[in-house]
Amino acid sequence: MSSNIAQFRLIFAVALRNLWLDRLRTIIIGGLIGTGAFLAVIGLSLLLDVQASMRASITQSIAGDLQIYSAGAKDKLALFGGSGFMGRADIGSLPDFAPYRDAVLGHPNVAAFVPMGLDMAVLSRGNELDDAIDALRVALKAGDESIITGRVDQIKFQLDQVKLELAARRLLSSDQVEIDQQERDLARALAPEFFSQGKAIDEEHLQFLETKIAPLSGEKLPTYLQYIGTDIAAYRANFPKFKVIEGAALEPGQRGIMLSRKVREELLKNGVAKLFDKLHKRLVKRGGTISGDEENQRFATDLSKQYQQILSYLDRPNAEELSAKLTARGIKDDSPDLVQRLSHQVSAFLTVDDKNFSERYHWFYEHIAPKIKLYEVLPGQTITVRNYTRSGYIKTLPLKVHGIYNFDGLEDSDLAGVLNIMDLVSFRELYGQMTDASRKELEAMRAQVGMRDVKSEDAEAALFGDGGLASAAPSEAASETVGDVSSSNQALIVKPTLADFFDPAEVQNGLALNAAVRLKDPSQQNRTEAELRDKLDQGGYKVNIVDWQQASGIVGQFVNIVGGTLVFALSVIFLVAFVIINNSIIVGTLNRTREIGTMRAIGAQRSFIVTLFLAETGITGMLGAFSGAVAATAIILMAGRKGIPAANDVVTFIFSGPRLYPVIHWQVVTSVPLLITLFATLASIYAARHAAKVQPADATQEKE
Amino acid sequence: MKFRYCLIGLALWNLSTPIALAISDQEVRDLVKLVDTRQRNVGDYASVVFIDQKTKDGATKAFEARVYRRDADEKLMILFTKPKAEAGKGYLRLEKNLFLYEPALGKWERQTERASIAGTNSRRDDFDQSRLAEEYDATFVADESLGRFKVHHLKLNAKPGMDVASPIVELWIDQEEKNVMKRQEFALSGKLLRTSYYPSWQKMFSKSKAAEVYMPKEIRVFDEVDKGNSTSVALREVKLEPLDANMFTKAWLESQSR
Repeated sequence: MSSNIAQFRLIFAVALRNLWLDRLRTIIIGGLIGTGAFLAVIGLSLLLDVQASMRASITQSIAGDLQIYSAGAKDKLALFGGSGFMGRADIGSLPDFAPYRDAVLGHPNVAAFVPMGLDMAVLSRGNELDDAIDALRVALKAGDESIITGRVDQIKFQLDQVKLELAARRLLSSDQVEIDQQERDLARALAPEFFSQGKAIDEEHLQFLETKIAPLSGEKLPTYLQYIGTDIAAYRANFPKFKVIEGAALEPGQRGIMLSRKVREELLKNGVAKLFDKLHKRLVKRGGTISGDEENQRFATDLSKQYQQILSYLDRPNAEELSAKLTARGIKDDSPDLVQRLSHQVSAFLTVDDKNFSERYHWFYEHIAPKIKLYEVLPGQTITVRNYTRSGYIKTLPLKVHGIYNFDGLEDSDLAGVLNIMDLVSFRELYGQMTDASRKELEAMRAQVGMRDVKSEDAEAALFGDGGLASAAPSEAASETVGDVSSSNQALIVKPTLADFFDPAEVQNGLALNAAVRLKDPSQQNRTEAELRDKLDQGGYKVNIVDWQQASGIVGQFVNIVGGTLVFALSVIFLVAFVIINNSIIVGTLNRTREIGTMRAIGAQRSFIVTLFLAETGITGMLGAFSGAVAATAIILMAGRKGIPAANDVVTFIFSGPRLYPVIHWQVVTSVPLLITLFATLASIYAARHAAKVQPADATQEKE
Repeated sequence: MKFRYCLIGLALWNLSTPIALAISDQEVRDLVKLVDTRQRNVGDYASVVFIDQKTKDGATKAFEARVYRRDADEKLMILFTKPKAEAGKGYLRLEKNLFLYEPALGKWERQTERASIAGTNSRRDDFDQSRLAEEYDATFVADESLGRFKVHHLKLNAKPGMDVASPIVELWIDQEEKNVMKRQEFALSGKLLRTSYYPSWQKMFSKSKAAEVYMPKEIRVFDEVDKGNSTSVALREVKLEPLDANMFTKAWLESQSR
């Protein structure tokens, strides 16, 4: 025993002596190992931090720890996109989620089960002129002369703009006949007598404006709204990142929708304001410049062309006021025509550069934004969303926008912000689910009409065969038939009223497409997932269970991709390092043949030589790896104080906020150097065995 | 008894007659023109339509609507009356504009798409006039039997430059009554797209046309691409009398759901 210790001491001392004597080689090998350890500790620590922050982003906003959906799904569940046609994944449905919920909640590690559904609807709108004519129609119904005058003035002002647009279009259009007709229509609307009736503007005039003039002002592209429908009470209780920033929260039992702040900013905000915001973020918050940055230049160029987005919301008094203000701040134009003058002035105002941007940004929000429609939708308003149900039918539903929400810490994240949230009952209607009542009503309608069900396969026999439904000669009918369908004297239908509330019990069972599962102890996720899978399988419930990473689609795979890339990069670094270590030991062996031969001649066993060489690598590895780990720890500590800023919106989501604050993971700091030392030592076995093959006689031969 | 002899005689005549009894090209053209002429109406039109749709996956949708058409200036209005959830919604087509009315909000929305009405398989041309003779060149295929009916089977190819929904159409026309009983629409490749049956017709005297107008009472449409999807249409309470002058307006449609 004591001889072993003595031998160990001897080997250790000789190894230290050899390392000191060949300091350059020691430093190179130690440096390589240290660099590898440094990168491994930093990389793995950040990977764990990103994984934790992404987990927080995803699990606390939408996904939960696990997601459950039908085994009959055609597409994979991808909460943040990346699956299905046009972003509409077909994940099947859970016709009644209650038994699934009961089974899942029976597991001791499950904290909550939140039913959901993910879908997309269209929000289509007319242009600004449509809005103005619609407002005039409402004013005419109310009969308030002053409001009517204001609306008429606004329309007239917009018609002046349409005239300019049409003149520009004539230069580009190949269909001059159509332009001629459009100009004639516009001339009629611009004629002084067109609006001379005041309160008595009739339906024909309104219809003329709506059908002939409004289309001249262009079409707005429809807005696609992605949404989840959920049991709002369960959702709010289990997803702490959900935060209402404007308006009110959707309460349990209430119908409606909460719009994401990001959706409203990106899709429903005035185009000029949106471009100002975008540039402000890139120039002021991120310290960029317009000059020298192609993307910023493109945004600035776009901004200068968007004057119409301001003018189309103004009436004449506001336009005159704005023109005067712009003149006062030095943006002048001599055109006598107000529309032309203001177009030039606003266009000049919107021409921004690095020097004037900040000042114009603030001036826009102070003086122009209050005069225009900054957002197309405000909390409290009702919007009509239109959805193609799963059967392909169109379903429209008016939904009150209760408020605007954010996911805490993910304010600027594109990915977390694309989803709007609505109640599960409205979701089911847009999805096309039929209730028992609607099914009964439909059957009653069919019975009343008396049409027999005919299948495609035997349609000809059923319709034209013996006893078929077809009749040879056409029946004669008088034009005056049952009921006078053209009568306009009486209203035919009772106006349908959409209830603002529903019984909260309706969302305790029934249709859901998927469900989020929150766990009490997320560290037991894999085990819980496997146990739930077994339990549901045994209960005859055919479902897919996926973790939050899989459920979030491409986004969730980011950590795996980054982790894989990091491991690959480290593998390459270490492979190169180990080749260098091996080569240097082999070269060192050749240089030390005499020394090894002498040691062998005085009685050193081969095992002694092997151990000596392994000890040399082990000591070098240990010193290098721990030095690297210490340096990495220092860097992480520093970064942890200041935080690493998110470079863009995607990284903001990954960081779960605008900055990532790395923490020291002691298991990484300690295990990485030990593992690297072990691998480096094992990797030098071949070289050590090569050295041990040196014979005592080789020492003499070399001398000769 | 006499009817039975007639049937036997008809059967014997059938056996002794070649299957394809060609009719001349001119007769084919005249027949197609007759189909158009009979269905064409020059005045106003109103009816109650019931549309029942079923899809292969079991989903179903049905609604009842009142359809008003003024052919003189291509105006069309559809006012939904059933089910309750759809009641009061309406489409108003004025020239190239299609407006959708949402009664729960009292709001109108101008839409650009014109291909589909109310998200059904119904297309604009389903509500438009029959223009087969103008749009297609017709050829005779064969004289055939469709169940207990003797029919002329014709093939219609769209004339060059015609903007039609289906480039190839085949018709089975009742030899006796000259009504279309079956219609198949094909893609240019020859792929069958949809089959429609017209089991019963009605005719009505139109003052504006000063002649009778023929209209299907019932239409059965089967989607041949998505097999299993079908649409049944029933037309009731047809009226060809002039409609109120102010009917094709937003105000009128709004007034119907107060």
